Amino acid sequence: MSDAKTKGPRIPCRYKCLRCGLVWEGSYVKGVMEELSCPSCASNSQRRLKEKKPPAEKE
Amino acid sequence: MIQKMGDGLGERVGVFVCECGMNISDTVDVEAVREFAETLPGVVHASVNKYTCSEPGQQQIKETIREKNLDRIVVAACTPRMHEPTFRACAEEAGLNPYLVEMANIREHCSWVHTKEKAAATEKAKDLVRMAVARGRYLEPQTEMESPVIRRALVVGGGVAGIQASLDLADSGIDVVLVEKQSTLGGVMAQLDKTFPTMDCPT
Amino acid sequence: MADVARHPRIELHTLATVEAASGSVGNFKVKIRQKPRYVDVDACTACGDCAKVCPVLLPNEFEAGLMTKRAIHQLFPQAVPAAYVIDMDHCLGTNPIACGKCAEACGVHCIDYDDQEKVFEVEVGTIIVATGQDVMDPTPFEEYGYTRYENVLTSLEFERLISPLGPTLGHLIKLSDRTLPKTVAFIQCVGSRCDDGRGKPYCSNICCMNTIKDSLLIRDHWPDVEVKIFYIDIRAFGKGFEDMYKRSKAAGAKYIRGIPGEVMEDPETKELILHVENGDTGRLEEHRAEMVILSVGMEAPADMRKLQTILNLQKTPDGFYLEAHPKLLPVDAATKGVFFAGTAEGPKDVKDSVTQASAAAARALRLMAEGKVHIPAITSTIDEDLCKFCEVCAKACPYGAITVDRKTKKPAVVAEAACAGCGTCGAECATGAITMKHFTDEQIIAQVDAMLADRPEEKIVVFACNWCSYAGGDFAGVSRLQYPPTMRLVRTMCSGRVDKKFVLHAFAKGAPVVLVSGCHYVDCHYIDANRWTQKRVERLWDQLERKGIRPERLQLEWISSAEGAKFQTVMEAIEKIRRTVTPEEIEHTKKVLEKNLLEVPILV
Repeated sequence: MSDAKTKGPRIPCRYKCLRCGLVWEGSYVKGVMEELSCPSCASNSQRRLKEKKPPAEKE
Repeated sequence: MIQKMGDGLGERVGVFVCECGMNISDTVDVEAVREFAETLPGVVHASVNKYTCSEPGQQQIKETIREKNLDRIVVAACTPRMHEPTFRACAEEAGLNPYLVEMANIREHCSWVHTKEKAAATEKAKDLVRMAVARGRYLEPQTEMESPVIRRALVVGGGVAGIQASLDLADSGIDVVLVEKQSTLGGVMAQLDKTFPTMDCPT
Repeated sequence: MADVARHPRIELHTLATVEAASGSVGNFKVKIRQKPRYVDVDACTACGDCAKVCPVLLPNEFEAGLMTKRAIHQLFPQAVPAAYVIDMDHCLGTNPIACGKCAEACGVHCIDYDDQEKVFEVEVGTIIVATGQDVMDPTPFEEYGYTRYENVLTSLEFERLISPLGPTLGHLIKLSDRTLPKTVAFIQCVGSRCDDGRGKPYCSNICCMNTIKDSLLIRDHWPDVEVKIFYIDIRAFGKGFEDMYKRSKAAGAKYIRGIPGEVMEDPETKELILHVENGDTGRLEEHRAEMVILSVGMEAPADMRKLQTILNLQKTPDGFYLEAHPKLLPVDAATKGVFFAGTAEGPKDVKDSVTQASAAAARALRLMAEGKVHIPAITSTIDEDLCKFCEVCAKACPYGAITVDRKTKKPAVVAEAACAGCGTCGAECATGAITMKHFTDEQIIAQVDAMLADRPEEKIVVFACNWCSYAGGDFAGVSRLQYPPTMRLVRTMCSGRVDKKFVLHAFAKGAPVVLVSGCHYVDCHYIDANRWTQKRVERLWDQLERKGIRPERLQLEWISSAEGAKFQTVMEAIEKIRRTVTPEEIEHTKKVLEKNLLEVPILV
């Protein structure tokens, strides 16, 4: 492990567990890899959901 | 893109299926695994042994390598983390490069974990042997590089740890270069009056 | 210490630091920079005549500033080497009005004002890093008044104060009036177990026992002096420690659970007033003491970073060096041939430092006694013709074993002695220029093909790293933990070896589920190679989703060698996922990924 950065602003995000399907609110630090486990099934297989931007409303 | 290797595919593979006493044969039908192994391409020998890692077991491998002129061997037994060095040494003694040995883990990853599903365990053992033979045929002889080690050590820091390490090494006949940033040895340890728990003087 | 000076096999260089290093295990070339001492070590008899005439007075750092030294000095009488040294920053030396008094006084003419800095190189087989620690600075903790009140000291200052060789020859005195204090109070955990950023979050390991020791010393020598110890909890975990704690209590030291919020001084009497919430009674109490000792902890030295870069070492978030494996290789650095001894690796006491030093010596000796190292033939090799100089392999290598230059189009070169064979470079190389010996693409794909030759829909393809996940499977076996017989393991040295083309090939061959499994983050046996695994799997998830393949079919798990039970749970959970994969889905995947099929002569 190379001098892992642990500080920095945590950006809120949503995670989805690829094992049990649970979606939960979490956060991450940009550029920092973290080992997470699903709060429900403790699996490591989870991905950060990319938030789709809502289409700009037309006037 | 995959890297192609030399053309030395294994054509004379020997498969040695181990019963491990009853550790494997209680769950896995080793005879069925042996018969299956015989049908695999490149396999010219398949046999069952009570304890492959034992002296007679190894002897049999060595004899078979010589008699049948085997160019790869697959040992279907326990985890390679345990006996791969054993079978590598065994192969080497019979004149086969130690890197031409492959193991199929039919004990830790099969017979011990599927004890109630004998048919499925036997099928899995066959697959594991098939995988080991497939990989085994692609194995290439390797020579381990040897690199000389200078018999001199550098110790960075002359506190209590650096001093102890230097003395241990020097007393064992190794030359030591000890580098200390301050003008004197001792580090923080030398500043201590008494040390716990025996209240003796540290220097 | 004196043993070191007279040992014929030890070459001692003081005032010296490591400047640069090259090479690898067995043959390191290390450049050492040695500052001038201005005194000939061999000629100096340490008579001290020079210091007697030196007009420059300075604080003596060895005595924690409680005593003075001269510009030419020996820090303490037993210093090794037994020779004086000049602090040239303060020496009047040969300034326009030259002083030169010490040189005049020296009977053996060992003083040389023109001594120069030396840089030299040594060739060594192994390196032991024993760079130690710094003592924490209590000044950020303003509430304790360390900078304001004379009678507030650190535990290290106190150590010198009660030393028979120290500034008072071992007499316990208050600095304000040089009389014996009636009450001495200790405040524990100053700078340790501190989460507000002023100190360190970890426990420094030694401070509880050091205070207990001090309390016994005080009660033994000065039975009339009252000792009060303010603490969070007492950590007396070592051999003989609890006994000593009990003796301290029996000797009359008072233990008060609670850390004072503030220390104030009565300006008239110089008495110190401590306000504390007593955790046992829940009451707010006021205590008075004539002397307060701040029990300061250990921190990683500020100049550690330099050696870290030179030797390619790793640090834990607490700032100390990181060992190659916390349990199995506790004194090895991840860089082969480098070992840790003492507090460089983390706070520890004298006994543990000595123990670890002997362990490090034994580990180093193991290599040097043999006189040669065998490098397992699992290293990476490079086909220069295929290399496109992209430098990805050099970035991926946790050991810095690969050099390649994009600018000059110099193809990658592997330093085999430094390569540990994790295979991360091989998995990252997009041009196929890298072959991992004994774990080639063909060998791995042949295994996958053999596994999926019959009824692939019933198989789960598992890529498991040798050190943790495969071993976790072994442990499940040893513990006879039962799980579904659908999974088949492909062993690689590290999960970093699992090329994305292996995964896509498995899916194209009809695999319903693929699992990639490695060591937990901090346990990776190849420093941080498993971070590349994670990044790669994350990219694969995106790729699969774009192609309309459920990303759930690719699973990623960190399983340690001790987690047989987790191995079982994971296999059960993945089997459930496998059951959700329909034949239509598999057919669809095979079609979509047709292009990702790899051609290896079918051998099954």
